[in-house]
Amino acid sequence: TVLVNIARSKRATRGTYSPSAQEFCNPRVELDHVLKPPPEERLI
Amino acid sequence: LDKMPPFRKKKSKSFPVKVCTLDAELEFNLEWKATGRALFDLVCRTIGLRETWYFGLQYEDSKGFISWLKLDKKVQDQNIQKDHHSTASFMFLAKFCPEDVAEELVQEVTQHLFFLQVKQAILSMDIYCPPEASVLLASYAVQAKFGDFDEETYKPGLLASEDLLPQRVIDQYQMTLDMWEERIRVWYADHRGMSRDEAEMEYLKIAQDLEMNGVNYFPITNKKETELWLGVTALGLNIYEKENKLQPKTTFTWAEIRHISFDDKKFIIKPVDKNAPNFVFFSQKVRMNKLILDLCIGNHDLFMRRRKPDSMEL
Repeated sequence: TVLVNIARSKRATRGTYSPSAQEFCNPRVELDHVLKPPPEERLI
Repeated sequence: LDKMPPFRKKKSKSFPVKVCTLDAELEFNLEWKATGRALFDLVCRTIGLRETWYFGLQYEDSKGFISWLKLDKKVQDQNIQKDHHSTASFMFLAKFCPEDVAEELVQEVTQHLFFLQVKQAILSMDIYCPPEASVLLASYAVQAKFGDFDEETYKPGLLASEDLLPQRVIDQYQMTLDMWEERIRVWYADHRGMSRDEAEMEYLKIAQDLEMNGVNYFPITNKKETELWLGVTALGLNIYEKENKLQPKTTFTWAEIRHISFDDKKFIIKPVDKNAPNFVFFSQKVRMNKLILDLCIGNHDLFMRRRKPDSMEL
């Protein structure tokens, strides 16, 4: 369980996001006429 | 002592929740397993808000930190501090700002909530507003609240009782409240015929040109341990010197940023331009870095959606 805890806390103290990659190569699925929910939090 | 109940009392299947918007207080009973989204949708439906993407539910967690409710997680799993009636309290607030209020905000309820939030930020001096603009903004706030100026019924002193100007503006000049009121009244009389929504929109249009509007400031230090501010905005990231929150020293637009990442208290902004150096800074708390990244992702998401046709229809 010690190992699991360490792994978890490590992940919880890191985060990354790539704006330029999102803009140029990640066309999102368009949900026409469906309300868009607010941006999701993606962190642990 | 009370008699022991014959069986263990059944755990209740719901819990009380209080949500305050800036002009209403709502109370709900939420199912034990309800997600953040269930509560968020409930609030939006109740107040008739469809431009939901700007908003979030803010709360104080059990350690006293201010957090935004995660929509994909259960409300019960998010360490919400509850009062003695075990009610969980939330503030329904704009988390993100439009780039252009006049172009983006469609519903009156959205405009009104933004108006109240921006006005509060200006009066509490979270957003710097110069004296002349403060007077003009006050006159629109008065028009929105009282309707047309009427010479017959207008009583001097009416405006003095309202919270209309930032204290810093009042302190800056040797003027009595009556003198301030007179200045506001002159502008107010000029707005005759303007509806509440129009007045609030005029307010927002002026306010959005204030440098600090729409910027989320975070205290950071660079590698040399110089204290700075990081500002997260709808358009990207700004770095400010400690003494100047108005003009950024450096700006990174979203398109200029390859990666944003943090590891513990260290945060790195990697520009797309490989010749440009990384900007490395340190924050006081990992929690703050999580919030910074969360605001980056959310602001950038809206930034991209604005630039796609029809993606933000109601």
